[in-house]
Amino acid sequence: MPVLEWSPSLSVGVASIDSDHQLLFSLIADVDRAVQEKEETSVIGSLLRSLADYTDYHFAREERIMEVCADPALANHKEYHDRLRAEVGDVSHHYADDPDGVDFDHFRGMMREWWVDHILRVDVMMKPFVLANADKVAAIGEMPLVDLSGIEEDALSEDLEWQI
Amino acid sequence: MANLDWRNLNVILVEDNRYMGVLMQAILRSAGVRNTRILTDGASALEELKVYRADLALVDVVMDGLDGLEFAKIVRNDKKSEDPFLPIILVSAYNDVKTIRAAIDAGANDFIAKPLVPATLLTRVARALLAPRPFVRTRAFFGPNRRRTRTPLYRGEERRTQEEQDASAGHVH
Repeated sequence: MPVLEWSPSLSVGVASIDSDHQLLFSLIADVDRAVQEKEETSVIGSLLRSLADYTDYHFAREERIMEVCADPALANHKEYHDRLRAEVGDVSHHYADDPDGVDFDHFRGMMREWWVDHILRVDVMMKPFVLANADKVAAIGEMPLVDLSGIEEDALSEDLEWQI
Repeated sequence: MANLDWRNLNVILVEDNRYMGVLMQAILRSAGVRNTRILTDGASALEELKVYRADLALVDVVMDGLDGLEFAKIVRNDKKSEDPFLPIILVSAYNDVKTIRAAIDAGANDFIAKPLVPATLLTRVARALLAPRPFVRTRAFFGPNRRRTRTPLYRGEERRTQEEQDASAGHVH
C-alpha cells in the first residue's frame, strides 16, 4: 500500500488544490517505492527534486489563493508551509550530497503525518473563502510552474555547442 | 513573450525506467500536456512514430535494445524515417562531455542531465519548440545546427562546402 493515497475524503473543495495534492501524494509514494526497490540515485534524486519543486509550487499557489481571498489564516498557514518546504528541500539537497545519509523511514512517517493532518485540519478551512471568490481563484489555478517569457531571447544568446 | 500551446502537444517519452517515464509524464501534465506516450526502448518508439504524430521526443540515452543515440540517428538519417526533423531531447544520468558530444552528433536538439529538475525539463521542451536550431546537412551529419549562433570571430576551418550549405538551405525547419 502506498505511503499516502489520495481519496475524495481528502478533497478540500478546490479543484486545483486537490489536483496538486494528488500529484504530491503520487510523488511521495514513488519516492518511497523507489527507495525500497533500491533504484539508481539519479532516479530517486529526480523524484525528490520534483517533490521539492512541486511542494514549493503548490504552497505558492495555495498562499496566493488565500491572499486573493483575504483569508485571515494566511500567516499561520504559511508557517506550516515554510516548515515542510524547508524539510523537503533539505531532504532533496541532503540526498544529492550524500544518498546514503538520508533517513527515509523518518521521511515516510513525516510525509504521512504532515499531509493528512494539514489537509484535514488546515486546508479545509480555506473552502468558504474560496467559494466566495471563485473567479479570482480560477485565474490562479493556471499559474505556470516556470516563467517562459523571454525564452527565445535566452536561446539566441546561448553559447556555442551547448554546455560543452 | 513565449507562447506554447502545451495542451495540444503530442510528446513521445522513451524511457526504460518506469519511475522516470511516469515522472516526465507528470511534469508535462503539470504544464498542460494531455497527450503523451511512454515507450521503453528505441525500437518500439520508432514503431510508435509510424502511427503517432509526435511534436517532440524525450529519450533516455541508456536503454536496453535500441538506445537513445541510435534512435536519434535513425530518426534523422533513415530513408524511411517518419519525421527526420522531429525535435529530440536526450536525457541521461551520464552528463560527461563524451555523452553530450555523442548526443549532439546523433542529431539531438538538446540534452538534459539527470537528476531531472521539472523547470529545466519544461524550459528545454519550450526552447526546442519555440526557438529551434535550423537544420544542417553535411556529408557526415544531419540534424540541428550544433551552434546556435554564428560568431563573426570564428577563424577555424569552414567545414561545409557552399554546395552543402545551398542544399541544406531548403531544409531549414
